[in-house]
Amino acid sequence: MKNNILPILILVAAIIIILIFSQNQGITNFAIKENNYSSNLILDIPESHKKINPGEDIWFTLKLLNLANENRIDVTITFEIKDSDNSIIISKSETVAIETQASFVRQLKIPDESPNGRYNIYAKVIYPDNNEVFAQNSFEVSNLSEKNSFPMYYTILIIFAIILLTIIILIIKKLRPVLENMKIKSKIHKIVKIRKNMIK
Amino acid sequence: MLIITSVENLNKEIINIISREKDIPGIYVSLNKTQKSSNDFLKKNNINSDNLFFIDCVTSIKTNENVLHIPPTDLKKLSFAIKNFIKEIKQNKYLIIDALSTLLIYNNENKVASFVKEITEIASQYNVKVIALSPKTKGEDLLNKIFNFFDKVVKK
Repeated sequence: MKNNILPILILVAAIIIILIFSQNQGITNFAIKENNYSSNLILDIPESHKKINPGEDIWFTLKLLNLANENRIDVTITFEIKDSDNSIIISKSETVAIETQASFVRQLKIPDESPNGRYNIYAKVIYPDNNEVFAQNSFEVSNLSEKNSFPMYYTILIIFAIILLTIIILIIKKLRPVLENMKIKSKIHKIVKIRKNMIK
Repeated sequence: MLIITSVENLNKEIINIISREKDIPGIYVSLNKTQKSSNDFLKKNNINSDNLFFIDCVTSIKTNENVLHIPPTDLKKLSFAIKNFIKEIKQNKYLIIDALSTLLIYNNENKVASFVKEITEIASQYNVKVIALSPKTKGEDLLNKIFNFFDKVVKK
């Protein structure tokens, strides 16, 4: 039992290390939502777009909450994407009508030459009475080849391989004495057979 | 039988035993001499070793195809080998262990005592005479534990 503990400990340690490693790779999949400036406006980026390639579109949803108006009104929405130096790389404005609809899906193309790094997206909604509400969120630009360097199925495959290897090691440990005993038995049989005639 | 004797008398006792039992095959478990040394020693004393099946627990170097090498640390394997020799040799036979207390260098007392108990049980099951030799000065605690496993204890 004592001899079997070591391979099991190694197995458990290896699984833990692999899980931590794969979690770190996919950490952006569990990125925390950024705080909104205003609870009336939420800017949401789906998990699948939290990390994108340069040149790709960043998709996001804008939700207006606590709408007081019953009539149709036009609001101006301004989107800005800023890099980590707070420089604006994209800016876009549009006017939309809101009444019943208070949720928009939008996309903005990130320039091809955008360097890897963290970017912030800001949304500002200006009401006809000049009231403004803000929201922001962030995402990351990086090369896809880095992003998918350790897909989940590789993790599962490696864990499975380690489990299989541990089982094989345990079986060999169990079988080894049996095989050795078989060898001894066979040798004894051979020795006695050869020397049979010499024995009185 | 357990023979407890002085270190100087050990070889003499072995010669006496083998000479006395010369007409039947013997399983010689050598714990303090290589098979080659044991063989040479027996030849020197005009003892024919043709009737002896050696289990050499001293060296792992295989100089003779007809000798089984078992490490003294592996008592399970050793008892397995002894049992198989007993089963394979169909005639009347005896088992001689030279020298029991040597096992204490490689194993703890309780393990050696268990081993001795197992061997004496196997020997009893197959009606095999067991002669174990041990020097007087070594392993007194062990000897106290294993006295009861033997039909006879002789102090010389």
